[in-house]
Amino acid sequence: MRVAISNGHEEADYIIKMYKNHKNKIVVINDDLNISNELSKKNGIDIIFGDSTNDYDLKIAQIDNFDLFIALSNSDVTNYISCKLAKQRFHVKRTIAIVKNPNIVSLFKALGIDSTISSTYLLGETIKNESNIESIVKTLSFEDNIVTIFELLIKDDYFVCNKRLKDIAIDKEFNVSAIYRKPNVIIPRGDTTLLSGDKVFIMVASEHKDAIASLFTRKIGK
Amino acid sequence: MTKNVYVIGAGKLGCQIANNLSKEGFNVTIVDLSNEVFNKIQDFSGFTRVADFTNPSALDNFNLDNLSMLIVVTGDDNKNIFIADMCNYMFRIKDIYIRLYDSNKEKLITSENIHSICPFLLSIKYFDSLKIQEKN
Repeated sequence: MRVAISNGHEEADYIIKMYKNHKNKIVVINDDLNISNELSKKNGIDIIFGDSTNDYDLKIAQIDNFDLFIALSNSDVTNYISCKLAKQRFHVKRTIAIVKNPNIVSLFKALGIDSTISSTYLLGETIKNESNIESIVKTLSFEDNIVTIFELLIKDDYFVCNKRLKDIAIDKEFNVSAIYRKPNVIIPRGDTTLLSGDKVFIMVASEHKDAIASLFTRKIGK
Repeated sequence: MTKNVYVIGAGKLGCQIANNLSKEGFNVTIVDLSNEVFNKIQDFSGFTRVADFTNPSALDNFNLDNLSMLIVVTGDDNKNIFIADMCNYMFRIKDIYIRLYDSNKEKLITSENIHSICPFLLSIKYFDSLKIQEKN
C-alpha cells in the first residue's frame, strides 16, 4: 500500500511505525522543521519539509494515485485543504483527516473527505454506546487487582432483569455477593430473582470483570 | 426588500467592500475574529459581529439563509476556501466571492457558486494592459 502522512507529531510517528515495512511505500510531509528532523531521525526515513496545502510541495512528495492520505495537522482547515488537494489534484484513492472540532465530522464527510476522525467525537460515541460506563458505579480491587468487587444497577431492559441468579449462565466464575434492594440488603441464593432498580455487588476475578459486566448489562434482544 | 450580504474578514479589503456595498444600499454584516479590527470602518451603517466562521456551530447564531452574497476575505487562503465550501453546502448561497493569494488554489474550487479573486492574476493582467498601452 502507498500511504502519505501529512503533519502531526506523535500521531505521525505512530502511523509511520505502523506502515513502515517492505510492503508499503510511505511518504511523510510536515510543515514544522524540528518535527520533520525528529521524525526522520527516529524512523530512518526522509521527511519532506513543506506545506501540504500547497500544490508545489505536494508535487515534490509524488503522491499521485496513492492509496491513502492521512492528514494529522492540529488545524482542521489545514487537514481539509490537504485532503482536498490530495484527492482532486493527485487522485489519492482515500483521504482521512483528524479533526479537533467534533461538530465538523459530518461536514467533512459531506464535503468529500472519505474518513474523519475526532477523538472527542469518538469518546462521545463510546460513552453513548457503552452501557457499562453508565451503570458500573464503583469498583474495588483486592490483592493487587486479582479480585474485584464492583457494583452495578440493574435496569429493566437488561436481559438479566427478572431472572433467577442460577439461570444466568456463563462459563466464568462470579458471585453476586449482595443485592441492595431499598431498603434491604439481600444476601442472594441461586433462586433469588434480580429486579429492576437492584444494586448488585459482584465479586469476580479481576481478569473476568469486563466479561461479567458486559453479560450483566447486556440488553434484551442483543 | 433589502438584500443581505455577509463579509467575512475585516482586513483592508473586507472593510472597503463592506463600506461600498453598504453605501449601495445592501444590508451588510461584517464578521471577524476580534472586535478591534472594526475600528477601521468609518461611517459604516451595517452590522459588525465577532465569530469564528471556520467553526460550523458558530454559524448557528447567524441567519445565512437567503443571503444574496457572501464575501470571504480573511488573510488565509485555506480558511477562505473552507468557509466558502461549508457555506455553499449548508446554505446554498448563489454568489460566494473569495480572495486567494495563491492562484494555484483556484483549482480547488469546484462549485459554480464560488468565484475567486486573485490579486496576483489581477496584477499580471493590469501590468499586461499597461504594457500594451505604452506600445501603442
